[in-house]
Order: sequence, then C-alpha cells, then structure tokens
Amino acid sequence: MINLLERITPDPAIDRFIGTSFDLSDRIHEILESKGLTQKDLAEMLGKKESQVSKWMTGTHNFTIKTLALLEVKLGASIFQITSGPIEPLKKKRAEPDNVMA
Amino acid sequence: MNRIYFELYSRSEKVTIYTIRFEGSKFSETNNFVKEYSRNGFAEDLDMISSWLGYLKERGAEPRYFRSENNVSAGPVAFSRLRIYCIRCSQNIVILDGGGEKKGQKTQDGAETWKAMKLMMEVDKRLIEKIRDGDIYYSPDLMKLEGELFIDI
Repeated sequence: MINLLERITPDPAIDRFIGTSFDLSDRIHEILESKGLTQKDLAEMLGKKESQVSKWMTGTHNFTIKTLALLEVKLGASIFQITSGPIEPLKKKRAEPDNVMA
Repeated sequence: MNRIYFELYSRSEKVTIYTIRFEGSKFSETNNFVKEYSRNGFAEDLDMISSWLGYLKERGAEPRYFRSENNVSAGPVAFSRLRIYCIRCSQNIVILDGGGEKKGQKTQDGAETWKAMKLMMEVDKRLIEKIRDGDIYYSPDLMKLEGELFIDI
C-alpha cells in the first residue's frame, strides 16, 4: 500500500505551526485536567461558546497572543513561554516518519 | 453492492491508520484525495493534513484533535482549506477516507466533503455491525483491527 499522504514532506514552517498548535492544545488540556475542569467549564469562564473552545483544542488553531494571554489569566497558569539567554538551534518537534507503509 | 476494504496505511507506537479502498480500484480513497488536490493548488493544505496526521500518530488519536459530526470525524479543523474524513475507532485506531475542499460552515456546503462524510457514515454503520457480529474485532493490544477487514455497502 503506497501512502501518498506521508510521502509529502511538509513545509518546515507549516509543520512547526501544527506542532506548536498541538503543544498549546495539550498544555491547555493538561491544565484543565489538573484543575478538574472541562472544555465546557472553560467556555463558561470565558463567556465563549463551547464550539469555540473545541476549535482551540484541535491542534490546528492559529492562536493569537491575546487569546493565549486571556487563557493564562483565566486559568492562572502559564501556557506559552518565550525563551531568553543563549540562542540555541531549533529543535524538531517530532521525529522523522520512519514507518511509512511502502 | 460495493465491497470496501480496510487497508493498513501507516502506524506508530500509539496509532494505527487504515484507509479504505473500493474493490476494483487501484488506489485508496485517501490516495485518490491526495492525487486530486496535489494537482489543484492545494499543496500547503495537504502539507497541513500530512503534518496533522504525523502529530496524531506521535501523540495518540485524542478526540479533541478531531471535529465530530454524525459519528464521523474530520480534520484538520482549522486553517486548512481541505478537510479529510475518518472514523476514530479509538485512541489507537483511525480509518481514513478522502475528503474535499471546505465550501462553507457545513459539510453539506461542499459536494466533495458531503460525499466523503456520507460514505464514512455508511462505513461506520457497517463496521459497527461487523464488530457486533464478531466478524471484525480488535487485536489483544487494541492496536489493530482483525478478522474480515471489508464491508459491503
């Protein structure tokens, strides 16, 4: 079985965008779980529709800094951090695919 | 009546991805989708789907990564102009279909997306019947589908 989808080598910037969005989704999920909250609770806290919060959690949402700041304040937890100090090479967010069906 | 086979498409430690292929067709529905849209100026959107699938495989098929509608799942939810349809059987197993260009808020707004969703709704129905009858079952480690890996619709 040829897997055409994984023969695509995504643009590195797009891959990093999706990876960062997955990171943000996973981090928000982690905070919600640790506080015993659901996505519905978060929507109510923010005065948003649950469907909007669901979109944020999909791993493909393009978050604005304003939305992230709002989430950090309402959840009382850090979600996104800017690094400082020595400039280090970019680390890959995921391993190269090594299990494509050929 | 059409016979549709479930065929292994990709796997990782956390997720096994199947695709569907119609009997007599050389290509799976997923590959037909990729071929169709790679010719039509959707390279960046296909990049997003490929990446989305890569991260799903790495992190597990968490329900929040999908949009659910009529027992069928779809992704990527935001940003991409394309949407691919699937059945999320579990945290570890996803069956991919093809998809199409999003034409509006609703799946029904696009002929291709609506066609893909309707097909997956039918596939889901038949798959559940076969699982209920014991003709298709999960492997002991819950990572694979086993048994008669086809349905007739």
